[in-house]
Amino acid sequence: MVRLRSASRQTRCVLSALLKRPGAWRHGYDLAREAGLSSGTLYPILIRLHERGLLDAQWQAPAARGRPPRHAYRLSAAGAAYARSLEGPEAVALTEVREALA
Amino acid sequence: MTSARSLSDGLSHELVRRAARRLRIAYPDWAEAVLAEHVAVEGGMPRLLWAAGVWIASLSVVRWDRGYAAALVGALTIITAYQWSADESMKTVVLICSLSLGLGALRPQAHVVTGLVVGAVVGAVNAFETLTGIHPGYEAVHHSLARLLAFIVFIPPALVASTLGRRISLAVSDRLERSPT
Repeated sequence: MVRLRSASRQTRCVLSALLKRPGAWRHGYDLAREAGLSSGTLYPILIRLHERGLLDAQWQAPAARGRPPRHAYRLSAAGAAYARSLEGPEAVALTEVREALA
Repeated sequence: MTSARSLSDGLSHELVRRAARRLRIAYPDWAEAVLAEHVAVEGGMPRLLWAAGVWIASLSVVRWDRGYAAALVGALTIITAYQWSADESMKTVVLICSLSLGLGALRPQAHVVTGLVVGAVVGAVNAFETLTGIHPGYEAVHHSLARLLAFIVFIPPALVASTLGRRISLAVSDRLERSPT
């Protein structure tokens, strides 16, 4: 796994928001709202996570006609492992239960 | 109310467009991503705040361009050399090289003519003074033909600088063409 510096509080917020639904593709605006971050904080974090292989990104077809395709993000396997490693053992257990129920 | 909202939406669109243009050089995908996401954000103040954040982010995440960094260091070196040098000839060389570099970048296809003309101007001015006797009050020296010919020495550095300017200009335009619009 890529060696990482300790994550900032904002990066933890983003990772935590992504970890709530690890397999789901998420959009920037939704993530910003869920993590409670401004776009100016969110995008540099997403770019760094993507460059370190912790985030998968893909273009999604527009939901409505006339709208542009949107960029969506989700944790990669390495990203999910890293995000779990940042959370306490209780949170890890909770995530595992959530994944088992999903 | 509607006009205020359309004004803020227009402003947010402009901010995101500028952010995308800056991001596009290093992160073309992310540039398109913020442009696309901009439309999905609720209009009015939320969109304006979101756009302002993206614009600020674009200032911080753009990779430091090596070519620009080299040009900036070069410019600082030239200014320092110009400021510290008491030698008028050195100052003249610095001025000629800087102008040739800029003009060579501005019009790459004419870099040879630029170098020749800018490099020859000192000799031409001195020849004009010698032949016509017209000169500023403080310039009382009349140059010999040999001295006038010696001013050719300014042409090679001017040619080198204009060629360098041409190369920089071509490299920049090549890079811009390769990045998706």
